[in-house]
Amino acid sequence: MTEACREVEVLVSLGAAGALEGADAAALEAHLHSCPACRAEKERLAGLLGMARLPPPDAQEAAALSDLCSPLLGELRRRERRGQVLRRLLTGGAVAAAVALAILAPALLRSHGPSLKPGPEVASAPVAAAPQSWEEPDMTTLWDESAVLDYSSSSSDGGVSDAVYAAYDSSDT
Amino acid sequence: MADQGDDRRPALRVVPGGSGHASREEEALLAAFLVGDDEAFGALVHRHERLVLSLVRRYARTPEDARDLAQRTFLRAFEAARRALRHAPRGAIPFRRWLIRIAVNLGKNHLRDSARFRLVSLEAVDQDRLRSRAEGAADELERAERVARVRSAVLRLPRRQREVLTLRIDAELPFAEIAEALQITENAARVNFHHATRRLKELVEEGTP
Repeated sequence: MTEACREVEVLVSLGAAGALEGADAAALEAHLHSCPACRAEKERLAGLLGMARLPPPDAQEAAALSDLCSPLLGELRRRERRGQVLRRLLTGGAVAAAVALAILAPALLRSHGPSLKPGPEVASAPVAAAPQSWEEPDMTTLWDESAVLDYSSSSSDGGVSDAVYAAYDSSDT
Repeated sequence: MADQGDDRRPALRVVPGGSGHASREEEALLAAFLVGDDEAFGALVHRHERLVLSLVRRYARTPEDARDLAQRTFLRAFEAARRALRHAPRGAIPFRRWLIRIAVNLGKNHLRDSARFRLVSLEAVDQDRLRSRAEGAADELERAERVARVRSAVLRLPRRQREVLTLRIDAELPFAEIAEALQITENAARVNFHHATRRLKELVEEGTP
């Protein structure tokens, strides 16, 4: 295959399919005029493509392929109606959900949401009253009551004396 | 009344797939169908049914298969047009390009599904027809077998090569339209066609005893 043949390779294939016109067709013809190898190749490819083509439909096939229109139209209109019904249902559902939400939202917020005013149980809680009845404890009493934690009598080995344990036991009971 | 009809008509634009005059007609037909004109639907189907059938026959085992694939192609294209109109009322509708793409894709899927059962296209039917004609004629029988081999090889081509080849030899589309349908350049379409013919020749020679 010469350089000139390589340059028209694509044109040979296209020419075999009858897909060339104008300058491309003229260029190929000029080359084929002087190149028997490419001429033969074009003929071979044209034969191959001829076999690859499907024959026209025979009577039986033509009958099976006729009247596509009516069943198609019926199916399309059916789908259209189904789509409209579905869209209406979805729209209706969305509207119903919005209305239900608008009605229930205040009640839901009242029962579950954060309260801005203290409820009665909060107002009467001892904690709320505590600051009013609170008195400063007597420091001596407080000291005596916590004397059980006095480690001054602990043994030298780091243990806790029996007296401390006894005091702890008696206060625990 | 006519004015009301015109008001209802959607303002869509069909992307040209042929001449400008044909596009404007198609635009009007599609718009009319989408507002309920059944005659416009019939005209649109008749306008494109030959194209669609020529594409799907390659992948169909029987005429009924081809009919089913053609119907599904139209259904999908019309549904797509309706959806496109709903979302972008003034958008372009490349209806013919959609038909080509959908037909090729459905054919490819059908071929994949059929492959599980080792079924091929209408060539099988055609081969039977040729065999019966060729009874007693050795040359005719040999040719029938060769034709069957070639058509079987078409289905074994790489996807892009097969698409370009079949759009050219089945639907006889110009390379500019093939390129547009497959969203490739025209030059890529021509080169793919060239590779397809070379590969087809190799496949047939490999399968020749």
